[in-house]
Amino acid sequence: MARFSDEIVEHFTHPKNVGELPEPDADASVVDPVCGGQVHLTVRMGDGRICEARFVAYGCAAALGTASIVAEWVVGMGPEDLASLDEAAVTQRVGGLAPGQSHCARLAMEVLHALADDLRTGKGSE
Amino acid sequence: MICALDSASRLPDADRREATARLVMRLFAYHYECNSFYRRRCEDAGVDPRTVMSRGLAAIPLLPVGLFKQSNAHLLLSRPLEEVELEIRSTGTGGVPSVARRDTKTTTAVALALMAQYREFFSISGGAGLFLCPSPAENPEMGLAKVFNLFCGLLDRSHYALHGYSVREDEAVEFLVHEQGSTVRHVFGPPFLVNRLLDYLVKSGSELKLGEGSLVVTLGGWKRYTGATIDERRFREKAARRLGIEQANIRDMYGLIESDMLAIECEHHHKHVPPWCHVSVRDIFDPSREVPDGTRGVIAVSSGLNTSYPAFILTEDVGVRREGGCECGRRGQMISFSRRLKGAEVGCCAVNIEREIDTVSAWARDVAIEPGSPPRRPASPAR
Repeated sequence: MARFSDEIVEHFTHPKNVGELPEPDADASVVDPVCGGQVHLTVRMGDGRICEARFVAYGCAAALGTASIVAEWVVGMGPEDLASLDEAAVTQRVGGLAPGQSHCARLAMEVLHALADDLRTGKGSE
Repeated sequence: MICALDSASRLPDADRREATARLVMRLFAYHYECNSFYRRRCEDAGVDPRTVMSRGLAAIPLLPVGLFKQSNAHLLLSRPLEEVELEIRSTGTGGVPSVARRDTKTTTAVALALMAQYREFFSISGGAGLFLCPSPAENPEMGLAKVFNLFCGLLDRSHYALHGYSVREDEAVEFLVHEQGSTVRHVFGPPFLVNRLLDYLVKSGSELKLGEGSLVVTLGGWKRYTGATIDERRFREKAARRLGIEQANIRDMYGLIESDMLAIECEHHHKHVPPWCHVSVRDIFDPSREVPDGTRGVIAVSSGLNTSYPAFILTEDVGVRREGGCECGRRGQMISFSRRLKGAEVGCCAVNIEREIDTVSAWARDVAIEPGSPPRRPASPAR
């Protein structure tokens, strides 16, 4: 397997939806205390679904690429969709992760679940 | 140069300067050509390869080390991500990791360079090593863990006495005692962790006799995350007494993951810059201006090994450079670190390790974990 999937390479090299939405409807941040990776997601809602998302991320290339993919992926999803996503779904969506990069799927899953919590309760990122 | 480090370190100053300048200038021209982000910075500064040829290495535009923390770090790469083999990070008190991405060619060059330096300065080819730092198995991307772990390839036996950010001083002492008489014993780790072992020996009233040929090698800085500083001279005196080792064999190293430089102390406690790097010290208030040897300023390091990104780094460290001969017989640049720049975070792997250890210790106390069983770290928090 290549060290980075084509999707990760594309999103790391040309990140999409970078930044923070002003006055978002929901947001979530997660930090991996071991690898230091960080992801912050902000979203705007329309008709119960995410219509716009932005991300800020720090860490390894796979973490940055995954965060960019996730910010694109979540558009059109509702809180229940986000909560149903697991590490395997993230790994598949990013085109696969090398063994040393599996923490990126966990980081992404955690931020998606925190975002779902925030959408449902308004407390996901507290 | 890497394979002949012993002779390269003893070249006449003019020859060494010329060899280093040739390496660094060649890479400057390469990054100027391959890296559009860096070329724009050069153009803004009115510098191109011809300018550097005529004005010298001090003309090379430097990248502030903080750029390696930014989320758009892809801009720093001169090679495509597919060629990146190794990502190494360092995290300071601010929490945002600084990540250096090296391609295969650079990874090979840096690994060989470190091995050559370890052989040149320590002559290690066997023995037992006690590592008072996280193992790469637990922290594969941590720069400090990676740099220390390279020693394992030269040793016959290695033991890590830090598990899940829980320090086992009793286990460390047991390892050293167990190896007594069978082989030469070395201790590796950041100063605060070696100091912790020394304090443990003081408290228990113990003294070890590591003996001739043993080394204590430190890396990671002398400032603790609390802001307190470990006094280097007192540390050496204490280590010499408690571990039964000559002060000449207690050596510190200075480096940062973004640069390809590890400056290693000789037996006279002078940190030698390897000849594939050029250190320039800059005016604290105007980093475009180089200050003379012996004057304190901001340390800048330019690498002659790195094809991944322009490793012409303006650090956040203040120090002094001097050039010439050393009592150890080597010639070249030598540096001494004084302090972090005002306003810069207390930042490096070691500082973060110490903070994590205190977090885990406090957590273990809170849950009254059984003595002897290393606690597992609390799960990743969502904030």
